[in-house]
Amino acid sequence: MIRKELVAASAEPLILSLLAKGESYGYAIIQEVKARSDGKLQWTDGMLYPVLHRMEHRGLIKSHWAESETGRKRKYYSLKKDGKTAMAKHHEQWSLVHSVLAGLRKEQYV
Amino acid sequence: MLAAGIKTPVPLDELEIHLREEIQRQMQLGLDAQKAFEISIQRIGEPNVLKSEFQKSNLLTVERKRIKVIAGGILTLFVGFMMLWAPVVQSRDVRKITSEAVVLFVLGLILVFDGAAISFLASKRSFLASKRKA
Repeated sequence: MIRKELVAASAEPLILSLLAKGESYGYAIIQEVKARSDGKLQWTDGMLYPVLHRMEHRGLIKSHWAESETGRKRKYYSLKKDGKTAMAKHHEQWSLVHSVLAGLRKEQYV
Repeated sequence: MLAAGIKTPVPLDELEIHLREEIQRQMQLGLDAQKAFEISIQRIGEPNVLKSEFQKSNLLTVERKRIKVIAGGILTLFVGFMMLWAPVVQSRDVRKITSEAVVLFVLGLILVFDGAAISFLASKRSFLASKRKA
């Protein structure tokens, strides 16, 4: 299981990157993150929604209500222009952290 | 939950839909309704923690509104001062003061007081809110 500080810090870049593939709704976002991390990255389900709302307030994403093919009402979120910029920034910073960490790890095995 | 008309800073509609989807999924995996409900409730998180997280994003909106009000107050103050300008210049020669200038002067004064009061009250509320947060 991944520690909760890291789960919290990675929520925004993960949501932005998922929405970059196309619009989605809360439940599907949680399920996809769970599946992609083999269940190791687990949010407390309800906590995703305040994060989504904050991101919407900040103008990174936008939302609209629509009915699914099964007739169920859902709130769909999609990326805005500022969200794309924020995502690029996140990717840059996470890549930097990753490369420093990988470099240090490599040195330990030399 | 929604039908019960519960007033809360938490948008219940989204959470309710989430809960229904999770219960349905758990039941498809073979759990009975009661167990599926219990697990889904547990997964959605502690009500108090959720409420405080939602309140954080509500506070952001309130703060943003206050900033707009403060900016509006300052703008009113500025317009008021501009309106005072012409009558004040005219008043250098008492004989040249027109009735329009007097009206403009009074309106300008009202706007200056309004603007000052609006921006002062909004700033005070914003300051008190930030103190409470700390």
